[in-house]
Amino acid sequence: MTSAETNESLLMIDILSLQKDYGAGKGVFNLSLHIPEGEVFGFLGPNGAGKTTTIRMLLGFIAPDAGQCHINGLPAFEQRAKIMSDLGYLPAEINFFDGMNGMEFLTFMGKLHQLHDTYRRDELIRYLDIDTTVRISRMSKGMKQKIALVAAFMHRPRILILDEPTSGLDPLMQRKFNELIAEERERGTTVFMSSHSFEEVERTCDRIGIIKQGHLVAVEHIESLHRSKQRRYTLTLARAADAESLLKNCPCTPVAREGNQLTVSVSSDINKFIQAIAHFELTDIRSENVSLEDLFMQYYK
Amino acid sequence: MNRHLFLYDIKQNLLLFFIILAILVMYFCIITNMFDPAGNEDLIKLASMKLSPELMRAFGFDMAADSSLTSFLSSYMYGMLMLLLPLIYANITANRLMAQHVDKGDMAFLLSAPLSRTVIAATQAVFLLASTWLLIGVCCTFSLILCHSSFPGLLNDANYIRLNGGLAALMTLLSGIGFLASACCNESKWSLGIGLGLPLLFYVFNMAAEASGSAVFRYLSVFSLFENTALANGEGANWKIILMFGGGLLFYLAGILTFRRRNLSL
Repeated sequence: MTSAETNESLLMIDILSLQKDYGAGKGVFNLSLHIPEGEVFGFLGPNGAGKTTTIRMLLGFIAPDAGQCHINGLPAFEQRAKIMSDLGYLPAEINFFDGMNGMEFLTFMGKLHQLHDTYRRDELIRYLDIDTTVRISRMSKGMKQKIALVAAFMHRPRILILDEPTSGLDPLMQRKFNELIAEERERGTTVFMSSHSFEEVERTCDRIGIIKQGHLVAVEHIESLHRSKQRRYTLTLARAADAESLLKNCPCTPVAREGNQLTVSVSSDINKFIQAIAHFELTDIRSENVSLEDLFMQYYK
Repeated sequence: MNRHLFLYDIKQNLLLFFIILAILVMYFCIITNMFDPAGNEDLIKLASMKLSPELMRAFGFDMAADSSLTSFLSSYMYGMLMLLLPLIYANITANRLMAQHVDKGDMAFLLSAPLSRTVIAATQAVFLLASTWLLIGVCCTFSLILCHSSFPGLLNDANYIRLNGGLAALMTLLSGIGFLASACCNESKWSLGIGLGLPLLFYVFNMAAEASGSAVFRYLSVFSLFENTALANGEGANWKIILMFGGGLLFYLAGILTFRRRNLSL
């Protein structure tokens, strides 16, 4: 969906030709993303791909070299303060202020956000099982992550920007986080989250974008990905020499080849494939499950 | 100006403030008690045994044997101690208020709140300037009370207060340098290196200027705008005080404006 096609005011996060060049291929290059209100968007990419740089520009920490980004219709850098009254941010690297414990930090942040109703904050503290009396200097990464999560969610913002939200959380907390996101989706919150974890993204996001070396290489709806999920089969041929002929005559794409074993992926009608391989002598056939991760690993190459 | 950030600043910097204040109060007690209304030749003779005239002038001990209490204080307290110690408080605090938050990364949380960069920088600037003036003000008040009780009638109050006003103007300028450095730098090492290092360099130039009488060093140092001896005697140019004060405010303004626009490595 382009900016022209969508009503501008429905776009919560609008990134247009965003550019930030740090030299030596590092940065963000001509990035465009349009995220409508209520969507949960997963931003995937390897380290150094440009995820955090993009988020920094969305939050008004740095200004782009070219292009623009708007949140809720407001320019991200110039109107950061106004945007923040309705935005919750979870940084990837969490550094709190000195000399506070968890509750003091959350109280301080609450005051800065002019938060009068602390019900949601206290509810989240109970839900995530946090001991808020621990001093920040003594907190483990997981604890800091939980405190920072509360700080991001407690003022019930309409937009959430989460940078690597589940790294540092144990499996139980990761599940609780997924439930939180599901709850937010029900409320119609727009979520932009960067992640390394395919599973999380697969479970919680509506759309996924992949960034590699600063370039957006793919944007897909989760549903269409599931629909186009390929089936994979590992065929053990009686004669290794048959492999070339099989690939030429059967509707499949080669994935891997090792001696007699040929792994192929089939995206077309499965019956055509079965009829085609029937002409070849096989000693074994095995089907493989393709996860979303495998699918995306292609983009990482 | 944000009230909550301001209160947080007070909590964070209270300790350093009181340490510096305690040291200065202690020195005021010691130095004031060394004053002899009958004449200070013995004191000068004692000091001259250890320090050459040039070195004495470098440290600001520049006075005649029959000087008044006001001149005595301006020489012994306002030649070095009341210059360096408030400077150390102000410019260390300046670093802690801006650059250190960026360096440590917790500025990200301040910026995740609906506070404009202008409000953040202005709150920090007001805190820095107000606390520096407060430090000088408390010392001045303490000294006035001490002199009135130990040597009633010997202190020229008007001149002494004007002396402290001149010092406040100097500290406005020096803390302004610290604030600008802190607003511009992403790392504490640069913010302190320039913000505290540059004024200290100026102080060294000032010492050289006093010791050698060289005009070059006097022009290189902003400390020469603070004329402790002249102010204590009721002289001293007002334009120099206004220049320090105005210059300092300009540095503060520059700091706020720079912080508004620059990229922050968070």
